[in-house]
Amino acid sequence: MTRAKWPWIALGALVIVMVVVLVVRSRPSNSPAARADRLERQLACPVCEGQSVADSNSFEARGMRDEIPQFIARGMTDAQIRAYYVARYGDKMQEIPANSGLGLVVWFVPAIALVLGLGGIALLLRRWSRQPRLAATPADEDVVRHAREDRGDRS
Amino acid sequence: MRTPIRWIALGVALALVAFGVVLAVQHRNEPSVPRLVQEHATAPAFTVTTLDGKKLSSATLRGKTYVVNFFNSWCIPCQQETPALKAFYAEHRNEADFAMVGVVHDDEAGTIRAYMSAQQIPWPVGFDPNGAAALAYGTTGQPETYVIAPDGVTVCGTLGASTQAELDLWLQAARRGQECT
Amino acid sequence: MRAQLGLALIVVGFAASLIGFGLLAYGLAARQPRFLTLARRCVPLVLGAAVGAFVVMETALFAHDYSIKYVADHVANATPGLYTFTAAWGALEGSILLWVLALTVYVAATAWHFRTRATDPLVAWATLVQFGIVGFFFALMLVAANPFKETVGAIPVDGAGPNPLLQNHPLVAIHPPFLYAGYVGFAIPFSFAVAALVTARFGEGWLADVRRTTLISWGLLTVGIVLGAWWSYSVLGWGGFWGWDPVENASLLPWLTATAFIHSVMVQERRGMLRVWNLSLVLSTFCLTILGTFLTRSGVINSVHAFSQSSIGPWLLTFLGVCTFGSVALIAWRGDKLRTPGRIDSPVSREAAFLLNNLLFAGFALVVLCGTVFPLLVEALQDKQITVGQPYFERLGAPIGLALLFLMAVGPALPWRAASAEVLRSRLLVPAWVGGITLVVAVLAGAHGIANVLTFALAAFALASIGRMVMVGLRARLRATHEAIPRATVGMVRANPRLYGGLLVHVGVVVIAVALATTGGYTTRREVQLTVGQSAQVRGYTVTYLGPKIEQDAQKTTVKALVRVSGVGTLAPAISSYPNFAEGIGTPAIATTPWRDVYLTLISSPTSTGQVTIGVQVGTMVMFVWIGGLLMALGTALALIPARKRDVLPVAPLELDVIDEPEPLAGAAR
Repeated sequence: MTRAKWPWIALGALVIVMVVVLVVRSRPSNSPAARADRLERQLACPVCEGQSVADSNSFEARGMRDEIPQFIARGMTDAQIRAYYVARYGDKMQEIPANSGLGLVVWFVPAIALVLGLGGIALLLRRWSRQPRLAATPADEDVVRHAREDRGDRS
Repeated sequence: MRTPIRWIALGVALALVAFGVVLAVQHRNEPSVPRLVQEHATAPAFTVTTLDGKKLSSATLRGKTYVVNFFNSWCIPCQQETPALKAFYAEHRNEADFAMVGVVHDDEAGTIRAYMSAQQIPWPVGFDPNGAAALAYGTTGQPETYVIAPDGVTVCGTLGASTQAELDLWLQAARRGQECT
Repeated sequence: MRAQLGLALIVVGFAASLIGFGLLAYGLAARQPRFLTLARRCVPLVLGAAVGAFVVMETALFAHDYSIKYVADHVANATPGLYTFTAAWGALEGSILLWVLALTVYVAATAWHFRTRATDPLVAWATLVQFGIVGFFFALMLVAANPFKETVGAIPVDGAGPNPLLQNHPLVAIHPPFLYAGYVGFAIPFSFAVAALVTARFGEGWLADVRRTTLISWGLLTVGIVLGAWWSYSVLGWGGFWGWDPVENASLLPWLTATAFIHSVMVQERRGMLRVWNLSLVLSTFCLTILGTFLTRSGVINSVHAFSQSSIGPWLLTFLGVCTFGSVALIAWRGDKLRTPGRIDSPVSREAAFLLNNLLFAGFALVVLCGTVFPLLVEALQDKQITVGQPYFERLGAPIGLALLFLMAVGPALPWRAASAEVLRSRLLVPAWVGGITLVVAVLAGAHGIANVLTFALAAFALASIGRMVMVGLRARLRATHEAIPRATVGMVRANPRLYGGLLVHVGVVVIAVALATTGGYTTRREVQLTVGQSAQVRGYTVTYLGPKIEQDAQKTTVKALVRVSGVGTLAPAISSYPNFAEGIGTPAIATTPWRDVYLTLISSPTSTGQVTIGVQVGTMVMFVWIGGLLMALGTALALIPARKRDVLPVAPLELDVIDEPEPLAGAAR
């Protein structure tokens, strides 16, 4: 490894260390307030067009913002609270599509497309860099010579 | 392969055909039958506070055939169905096994009080300030009417205004243990 | 009278587009240039018809001509002048009329720009496609969305008035026009792309022809989208500015493919590569525009924005099908002949960066498309409703966004063809370390959220990289011309406005990215219930409810809650009720400084006991979203200025982009 690479390696190491610190620090909190906030953002307002419970000021959404902390205080788990509202309003309550069955499609289609795309580009680049560069043929050199003569180049 | 773009284009075309079919078959059907009724579910328990400050709990209604009506003072269909509700209530109020409760959905005490005296609403009306009763029933607006049989099952109801004829029919069905949907 | 006049003008417009289409088709098939020039006469007719119909609509609105159903449904006697004017595009039929107006203006401008090339088959085919699109939209007004339909029965003395959401903020006068001007403009590059494929003239000519229109449309669409975000924030009152609402997504999709196109064309201009990508991107941009039009107007998707249901759905779906399958068919037909023998020489080169850029933008567009359309798919297959909301888009979008930030830092500094280690080091090492140090500082300062902190670090990297490019260019110019710094800066920018305009747009994007991270990660929200005189504490601010205030005017009744916020002043969030509409509309009260916004909403009106529920939100650096948008608009305007020849210094052509210091000698000891 040449000396020229050290600044890059040092930077890479620094970034990795910082990212690890961040990952450890950013683990989702399980305090009641954090759970309530997360649930409110991940449940859709049942009577609105496309707003989460956290964002909507409709009657049902306000009611849910009141009820969810009570449910948490009563000891219900996140899954139980979600199930409670889904039982009453249906699957549209979940702002994130379910991780099963048809719900997986919406996650997989873009992810697979991106992976395929990146893979495709990587393959193409490798194939191209392995091919020999085109060398000038005598015919090409003739063309260039004639063009320069036409232009009156001294060469 | 020699013509990769042609194959990619074919794949895209097929995906588009599928997509177009999905878009074309969309139908938005607005349900008018509430979920609880569709599923013949047990009516949820609730507790509301009446205008005079007393607690009104659904436990006191057990064993009766009762009607729960979610309403408020500013929604137009609510105002339109009030005469029908009054006629219905007048017809059945003296029956021993009958009860009717109005639950306020998204309104406040002052305006409801005024509305009730203006419309002369005689049946008990309770406040649901934090929406607990509404959420337990899974309401999505107002007016919503639910008819519950003596065994606690929600048999009939509607989203939107109801007529006296409908209410009578539902009450009969609930008493006889018949289906509505 | 007005109804008949308006309808007649629409018929004229339709007929003129049909005739123009026919003349061009015949002229191209029979190779008769006379017909091609003759067809141009239809353009002023089409423009006149659209302008005339729009003027008739506006006069009908202002005259409160309730014999026209659209007027009766969307203005009232008490509606203020501005909102009477904007009612022209406030509902379905009027919005199609605005669409047609914008489209005919673009078509006319394009026809005038190419007036000397009327007999060129490329231009003729493009004009043919343009007439087809214009004709379709005129026909749409005739069969499914007639803005001049007459009122059935008795003519009312007062109208219903605009939807309350469309009459409580002046933004309604600029947000839709900018959006439409942006969307519609993509029809022109689309028509030229089709023409290029049909005439097999795949060279770079068509790109040069449409470059300006594409950039102008892109700029207008960008402004329209940012204005929409501003409206969402200042008017709708839910506290955010982007909700991944299907209509918002519909405007974002063509923007993403158009952005990819604007970048990717540079590769085609330089090296003739990525032709299939570029054609596909242009064709997709317009098709996505039509898809967005279909989604928002057909009633297929429920949204805050959606127009009411009508029979317009099947027509738009058919047109979408024609455009999309036509595009795919053209690419399939010509696509393999388009591929150039050129190669990308190295993965570390600007071409490779642009290719990766294309993939990321296309990937992001696919994410948005999937998320928007998935509920429809599930409903069609399983007959149940589901939601795809913010968490989905953020989880998939954040990594793509970070990768794009990285590309913004690295891409402009990469040389064409291949980058040596020395070049990378001299151009990127310092900016990369700036990013690294920012990362350390952010982590040490206690910042949380991986995506947020990485955004800060990559933003610093990108800004440092851009700053370096500007400084190097300035230093080289100063050395060459010995001008004073301000003059040198101006000269440098004027010599290459495309580069510096682009860099300014990138700065704007970086600023917006940072603002998204700060508002997403560092916003505090609380609801407080207060009686008169009571206070609450939210994130260091004392919020005191002073009392209610009721205002009434001809248009609406407004209930305001006067709230004093410590260190800020008195704010008055409100709820307004309009006659004919049952639900009240909330209006937030916002105190803005660059570093923080205090955002109050009135969640429920004062009860009979005098208690109010007030939403208090304190957001960090929200203003930078709007500042970033402004920078993007300025950068686009700058990039459209033609380069001033006399500012260009005499240098060898290959180094025109960035004037760098001489590369260190290859064999030099390190």
